[in-house]
Amino acid sequence: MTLLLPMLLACQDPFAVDRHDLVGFRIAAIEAEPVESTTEPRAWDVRLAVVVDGRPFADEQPLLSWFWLEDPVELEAADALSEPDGVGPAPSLTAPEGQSVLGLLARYGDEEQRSFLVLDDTAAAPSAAGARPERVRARAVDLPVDTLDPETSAVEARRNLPVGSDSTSVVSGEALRLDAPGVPNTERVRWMATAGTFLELDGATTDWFASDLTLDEGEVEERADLPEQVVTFLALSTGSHRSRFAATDRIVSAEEPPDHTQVHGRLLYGADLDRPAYATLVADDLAPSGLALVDPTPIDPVPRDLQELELFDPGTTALPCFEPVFGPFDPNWLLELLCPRAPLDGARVLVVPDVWRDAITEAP
Amino acid sequence: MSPLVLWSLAWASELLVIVADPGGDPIPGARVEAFVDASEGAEAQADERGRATVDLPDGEHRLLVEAPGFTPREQWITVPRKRPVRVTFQPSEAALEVVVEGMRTTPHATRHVVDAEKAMETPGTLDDAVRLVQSLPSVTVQREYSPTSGDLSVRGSAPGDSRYFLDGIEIPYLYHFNQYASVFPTSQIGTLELLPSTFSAQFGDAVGAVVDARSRLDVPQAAHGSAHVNFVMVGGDVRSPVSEDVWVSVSGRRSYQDLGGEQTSQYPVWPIFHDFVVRVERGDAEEGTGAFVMSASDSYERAIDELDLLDPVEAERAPTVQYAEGFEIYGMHHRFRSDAVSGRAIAAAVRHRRFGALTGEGQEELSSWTGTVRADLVGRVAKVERWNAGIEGRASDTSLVVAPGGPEAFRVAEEVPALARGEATDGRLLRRQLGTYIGARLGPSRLMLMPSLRSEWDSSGGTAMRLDPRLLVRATPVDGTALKLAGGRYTQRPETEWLFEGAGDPDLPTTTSWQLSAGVEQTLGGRLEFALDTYLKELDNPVVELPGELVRTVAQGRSVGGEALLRYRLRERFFTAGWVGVQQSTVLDEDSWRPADGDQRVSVGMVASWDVGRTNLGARYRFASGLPFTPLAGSLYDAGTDAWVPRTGPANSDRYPAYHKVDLRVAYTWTLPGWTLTASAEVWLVPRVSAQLYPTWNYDYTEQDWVVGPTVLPLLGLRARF
Repeated sequence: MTLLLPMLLACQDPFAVDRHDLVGFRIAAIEAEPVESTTEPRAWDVRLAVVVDGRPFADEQPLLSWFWLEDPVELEAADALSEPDGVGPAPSLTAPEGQSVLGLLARYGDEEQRSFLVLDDTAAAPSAAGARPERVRARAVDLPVDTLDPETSAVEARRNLPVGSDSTSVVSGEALRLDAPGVPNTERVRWMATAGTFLELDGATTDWFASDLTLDEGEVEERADLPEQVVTFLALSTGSHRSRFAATDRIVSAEEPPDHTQVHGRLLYGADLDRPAYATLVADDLAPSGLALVDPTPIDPVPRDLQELELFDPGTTALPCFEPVFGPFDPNWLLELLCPRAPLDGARVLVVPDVWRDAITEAP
Repeated sequence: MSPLVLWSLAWASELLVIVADPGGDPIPGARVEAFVDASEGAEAQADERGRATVDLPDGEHRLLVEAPGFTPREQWITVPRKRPVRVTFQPSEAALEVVVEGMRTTPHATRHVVDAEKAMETPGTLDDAVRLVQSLPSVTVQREYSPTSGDLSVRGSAPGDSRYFLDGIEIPYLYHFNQYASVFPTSQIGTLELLPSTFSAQFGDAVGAVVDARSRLDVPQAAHGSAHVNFVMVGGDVRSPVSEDVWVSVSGRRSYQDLGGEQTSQYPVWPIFHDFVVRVERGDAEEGTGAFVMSASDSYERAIDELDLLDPVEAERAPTVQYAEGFEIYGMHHRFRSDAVSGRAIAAAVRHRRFGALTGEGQEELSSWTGTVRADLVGRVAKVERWNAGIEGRASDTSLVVAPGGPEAFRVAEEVPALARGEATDGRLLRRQLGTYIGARLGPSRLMLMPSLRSEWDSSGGTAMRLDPRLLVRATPVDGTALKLAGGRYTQRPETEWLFEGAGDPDLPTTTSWQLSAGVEQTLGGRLEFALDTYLKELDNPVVELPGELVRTVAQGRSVGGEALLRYRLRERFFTAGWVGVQQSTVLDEDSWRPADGDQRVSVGMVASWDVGRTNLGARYRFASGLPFTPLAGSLYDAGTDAWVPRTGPANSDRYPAYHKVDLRVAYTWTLPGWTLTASAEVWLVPRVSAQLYPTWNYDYTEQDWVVGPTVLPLLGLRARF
């Protein structure tokens, strides 16, 4: 032992929540895209990913106030009485002269979050900005928690593990390998989830365990396998002061998971659709996005392509959302706070499953 | 007396011996004994002027000089000799040393003296005299191993308010790496004093304290040295005569864990520190000329996150902070003494460099050369009155380059504050400083007045000269009791690196402090000493350095407090001391008073060391109330980089928990032919409730916890002396 060991032996207990955890009220990601225009000043469209009470949907909408700033530190002075430059989850905002920082004051009950974006016109081109994840892929990997130790948790050991196909469910205590197609592994993806434990593999790939673990140099010190539930994942790609995100859900279940349909990467309980269908949305706290499908009625005949699909009324145009929404129902509207859950309860909407989209996309 | 001796004395030469204390005062009654052969010789007693004459035959003789309350001095002399033998007693090793130490006349109101015995035998100091400074009354108790543990805060002053001198040359810092060891070894130190406040005009440009160390300059009669090793470092020193007049001294120390390839993911570069001193001298502490080179350096690299808590990829990408600091001193000095005047003159060049970098997030590089010339004179008018005067000139060339860090730099704000400020700097500053002083000691020993005046000029402060008058009144109404009252004006210009754009402000004003202290010293029964000191410091424009902010001044500052000290000592047998300090230090910042960085309301210390034959047993306990720190109040989320920018709360609005520490020591010394070997074992105990080193925060700075140090730390050491 040496006197220098104090720095080695000096230690801290892990915090209960780390940056991977989507818990409580959290602004998980903010995207801002310049509106295509030849005129100045430039307008920006923003898109949020927000969890409320640790869920990717809200019954009570948080208050969102946007401010144009010269310096992020000015956001500290903003409060409920400050006059915002925009409100809501997806305003179109035009930057005033000399102000290139967009600040957000988000309030939910007693909680508040302050976030900002430094908007960089030169990063408008996608190649100069954070690469956009096409979707989040989660594949089975043979890495149960029971086998975790300093050797098996090492990056090189895990990199060589065989990986299965994309899976929408996982058994408690087992693992999935997540990546974000569209983002090179030399880039940086931040992974977040509403439950479980991440063990990253490289810049854009991670393993995830259906278990809450406390690891110390690869040794499992504490373990609590997840009960049956739905876990929402968020992949945030960052680069050049521009971040982009994609979300997905997976089911933790010991048995055959309930019927579900994947739409825009997210899951909807209540039906296993392989083609576009009308269905009624019902509130369900245990369902991904807080909504389940009942009384599905597939469209017959099946549309042959997206153009034919546009002939059908999506049933979403008149939804009482905070921002206008268009097209077939997208569960991400709740994650992005475009729509609160309560007004959607009972709505009859067009649902287009990803499996159908993928099929027509791949068709010659 | 043998016929041989009588015959020898018939052909004797007269040898004049002059005996004085370190202040230059004669010691009447000192006994001078010269040995002609193994057992016979001549002796005499010093007169009121401290002079004694003995007749000795030509040749080499052993001279022994003794006086009550002083360390006996022994040396070899050759007769005949042209000049008298001047003997100056160093801080006493005699049983009555406590009495003498407490009552010694000094132009400084309060003076804490550290000597070798205390340094070697006080638990928790690792035989390091300068580490012992951190345990003195008046000094803020810092948490060991923490990033701030090397800071010296005295009577509520900020660390930058104090100056550290070695032989009159200012050194940039006192401690290696978080106070693990001081930058110069105890074996090189002759005297070490802490002047906590209201010191005389001999020192200036400081509103805090002064640490005045002087090298050991007694002439070695033969080669002596030591070698030591503990779990931190290995080192050695040798002092040896080269000729009749010339002697050399070499010492060196180095940490060694890195040599074994030791490193961890937390410390990719294991902390390395070293220091060495090489000295060539002609003459002794009273008269002589010498040249010396001194060097000290520290470096390490560490991960700023707790890697154990991160997954492998995160741990691999976790930023690290690289840190390196060091200095070299190249100097010459000359000491002289005549009947009327004594003094010293020093010229030195000091190179200081510091580098800090956070991977991918900025770096800081400081480099400076400082040339120093200094002269201190002490003279006598008539038999009693004394005067002192001196001059201190410095010229420096400093460059500072800072590429600011991002939000993560806040986590290393203590180590590399420039990164956390978020401002770029690239500049060079030439600076000249000149200080002169004059002082006097007037009146009889029962009531002495010691006025002094210092003038300071600094090219960074415009053309204005600062005049700082000071006065100490010391009364000894009865033997064993001393009353003292001191006060004066103290001014200080900011550190050079704070005058750069981006670090502070080129127009930072001068800090001015009016200080007052009063105290009483009482000796009881000849061995027990009690001292009570109170002090008040009022400051205008004190400097504040808050994490993440530019260095600035605030309107006012104030420190008020008191210290009580009880000390008992039987030299080389037993010593014990206990002290209590209470103080309050505040600053007026933006129209409201708040705690200053050094606001430690209560501190208590007790130490005891007991020699039982060849065994030394020691124990020390320290308690201190928690120092203030600035908490964080959440953060701003930078959505473009997925990073959190911390927001600081009100300055110094939170406090560390109270601190307790117990040090226990046992050492055993073997006496072998020509050398001794001492093995020591210590254990440092810090209860869990006090083991917090520094705060740490979660990813978005909404939760704060502590990095906790060890609660039990055993240490072993081995020292050989020859």
